[in-house]
Amino acid sequence: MLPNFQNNKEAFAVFIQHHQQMVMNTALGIVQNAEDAEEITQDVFVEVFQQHQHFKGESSVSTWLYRITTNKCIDHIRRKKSKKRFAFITSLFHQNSNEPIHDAGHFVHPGVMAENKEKAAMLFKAIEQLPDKQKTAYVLYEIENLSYAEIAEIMNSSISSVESLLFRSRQGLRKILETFYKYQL
Amino acid sequence: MNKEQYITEIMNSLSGIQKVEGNPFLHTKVLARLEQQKQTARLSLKLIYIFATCIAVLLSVNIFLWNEFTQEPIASSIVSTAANEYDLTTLDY
Repeated sequence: MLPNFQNNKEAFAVFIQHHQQMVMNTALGIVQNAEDAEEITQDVFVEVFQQHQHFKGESSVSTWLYRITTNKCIDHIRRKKSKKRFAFITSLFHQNSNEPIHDAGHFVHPGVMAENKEKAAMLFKAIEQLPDKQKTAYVLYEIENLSYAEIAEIMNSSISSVESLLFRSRQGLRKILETFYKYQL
Repeated sequence: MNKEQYITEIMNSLSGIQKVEGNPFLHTKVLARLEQQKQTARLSLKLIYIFATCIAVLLSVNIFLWNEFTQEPIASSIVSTAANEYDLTTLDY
């Protein structure tokens, strides 16, 4: 069980210090934007502070945190997509506006080795196009190095469905990368 | 580079990825955000109270005015009661 963070601010500080890297890296892999990932990390710990009594200890703390983080990331992506749609519609009415409709630019993960940066940017661009569940499973497996069982627990699904999600995500990525290759020629 | 090689190299580009360091001031930022949320909640509670008071005042005024204008004047009701009592409403004498 978790301590009551509202009465024990020091325990909360230690908890944040211990888990922030895990939360930040997961968020960064899914939302692919450092500022957004930082904001989501803050949101996650705010929720932990307010809802720590909801943690029953049925799963590990890290599983619980991964679950909160991935849910917040997916919500964030959905909100951003709807904002983009709204921006597109408003841009139809403001043809002279020079403001960008959406943020282009490739995400470069700061943890990728220097020689792989360009290729990783292409991969992240492809990952961005995957459906939410596939994207989450892929990031948890490839970036967070979690096992199928851990991912299944986080995503509230079975190991076989995680296997299937990862298989489909790899297939999807290959298809997207094929189109990138064609454009490159 | 052929297509297969291109795809494989990109798919393998995350190998050896390093974890990103967290923000050393995250704890302070989280506490600040919690405080901000508390203030917002307090403000919205205040607004709810103000709104409820306004509604209550308007309702009371409404009820008061309704009662004022729909009741028969007391004096005229006493006169008509007295007139009925002494049979003063008939014209045949």
